[in-house]
Amino acid sequence: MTSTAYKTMWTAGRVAVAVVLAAPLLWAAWASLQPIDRIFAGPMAPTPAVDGLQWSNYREAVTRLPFLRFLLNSCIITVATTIGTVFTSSLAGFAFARLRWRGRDVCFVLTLATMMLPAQVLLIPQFLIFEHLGWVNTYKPLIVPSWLGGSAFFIFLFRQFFRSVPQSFEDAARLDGTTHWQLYWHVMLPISRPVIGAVAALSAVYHWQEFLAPLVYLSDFNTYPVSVGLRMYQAMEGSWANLIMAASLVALVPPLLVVALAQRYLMRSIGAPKGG
Amino acid sequence: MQAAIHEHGERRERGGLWFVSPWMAGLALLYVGPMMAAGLLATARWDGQSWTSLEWSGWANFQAMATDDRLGKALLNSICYTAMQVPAQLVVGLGLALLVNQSRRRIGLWATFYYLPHVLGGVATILIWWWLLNPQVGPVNQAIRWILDGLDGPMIALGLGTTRDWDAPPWLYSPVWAKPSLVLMNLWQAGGGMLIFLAALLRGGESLHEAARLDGAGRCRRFWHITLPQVSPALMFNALTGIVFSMQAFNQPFLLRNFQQQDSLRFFSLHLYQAAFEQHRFGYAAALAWLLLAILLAFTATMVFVTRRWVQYDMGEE
Repeated sequence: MTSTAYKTMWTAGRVAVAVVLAAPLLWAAWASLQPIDRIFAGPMAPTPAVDGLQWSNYREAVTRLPFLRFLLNSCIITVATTIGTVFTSSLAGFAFARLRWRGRDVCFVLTLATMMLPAQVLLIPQFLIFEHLGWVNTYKPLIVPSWLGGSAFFIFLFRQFFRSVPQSFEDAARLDGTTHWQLYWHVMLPISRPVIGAVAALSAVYHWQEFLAPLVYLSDFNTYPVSVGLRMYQAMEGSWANLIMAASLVALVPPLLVVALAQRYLMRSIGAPKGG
Repeated sequence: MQAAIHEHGERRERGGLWFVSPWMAGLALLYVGPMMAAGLLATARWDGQSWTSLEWSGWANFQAMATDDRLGKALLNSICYTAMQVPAQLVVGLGLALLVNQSRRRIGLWATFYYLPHVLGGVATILIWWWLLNPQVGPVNQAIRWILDGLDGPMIALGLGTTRDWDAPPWLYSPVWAKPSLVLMNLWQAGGGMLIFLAALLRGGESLHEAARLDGAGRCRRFWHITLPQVSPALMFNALTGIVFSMQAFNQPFLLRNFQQQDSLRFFSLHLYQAAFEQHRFGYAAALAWLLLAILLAFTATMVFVTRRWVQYDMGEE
């Protein structure tokens, strides 16, 4: 086979995979706009034009349960956790990368070790601690942990980035007699846009979709985030495929937007692929 | 002068501690404290209500595991699921990475697109797949039935019998197909593993391939002797994280379990969750958590040990 034939074959393969990956969301979009009996009627015959689309499904999907409330709750949790994660994990990353202090290397190894701990080992004792602090049924168990360093992976990303900043930046600032804080706030953070973007995006998407923690800590349904709200939807209106699809797609819009906006930063920080 | 430098050094030390203080507090409150509490709790009987109801019970929780017949089933379920899930993810993740790596100019674009489903891992995605895999009206089975219909004619013509007797799988509504359903759903998100493989491939570079091609090595040999060693650290990383995550899988079995599966999605994590939050046996649940940790550590250590000769860690470094 010639090399052009090979190239065409590979491109065809990539396009085919892309179609397969897009198909579930496309079907969900189609189903979210159908009357329910249309979905139960079986084969996806061509839908009669645009007027066959039932946009009212979306209105119904967000009003049957207090779905807008769930969305708002998720926004509050996500924004609060993301700010905390970026702030405290960048602080720790900075201290691990640019400051010398006793026990630094031991602490860094400890940080990485926490990544290996299964969440379930910690879930029960964490729950009991938060319960005895009187934090159950509040957002504190969901938000406070991310203000305490966030996750080890994010600290690691910040540390890698800060280590790559040339020493000359720091020396120049030190000559002017800056403090650690000024060095962090006025020199390091302003040049960290890529890693801040990546950490903020990953943290936001993760916390938007977090399910087990809110399931365990929240019991008043007015405080539910979207994830637990969708679970309630499944339990109560599960057979309304069109409404479930509409609600699910609405819940997927924010993560998709965040990833689209942060795409450049994400690829640079976690992958390494260049170009594109 | 000496004193000045010393003083500066001292100041630096304390400064560093301030910066990590939130993380230190987190380490104590979220990791070290809970780990110790879990250790103590594993030897106690407690309903989690008031301290007075707590009583020390020694090894009773661990002895109770032996008589918990649903525990064995849950553990077996989790291991079977992991044994299907991890290899499937590795093969498809590596396949996607090779596919993307063939694109010279648009690697980033394809990688982003394939990676996208990976970040959409929440309840919404699970509910979409719940309907995609519906045995009667889901599009997956509609497609399978359409293909079976199409094959019927040619099969009869070739004398291979008819496809009329076959039907599309009942997916989540059968004890046999429930776990493969989860594996299939998760393949949609193989882009996460792909990204790790892709980074290893890009670091490995093309020069070895070029040299081998000039020496007349075919595609298969180059894959086996160059590509696989190049990605071996990524393979190891994906395998280990895959095992750790699969053994803890919770959201899917929690949301997708039903009566027809006959407990085949009763995974270890679900067993632990129910022991703690439905039966309020916190001591027993803490003991289960320790069992999981011990199993995962044993798995990880064995894998690292067994593959130590084969995984070329130095090729993964810059």
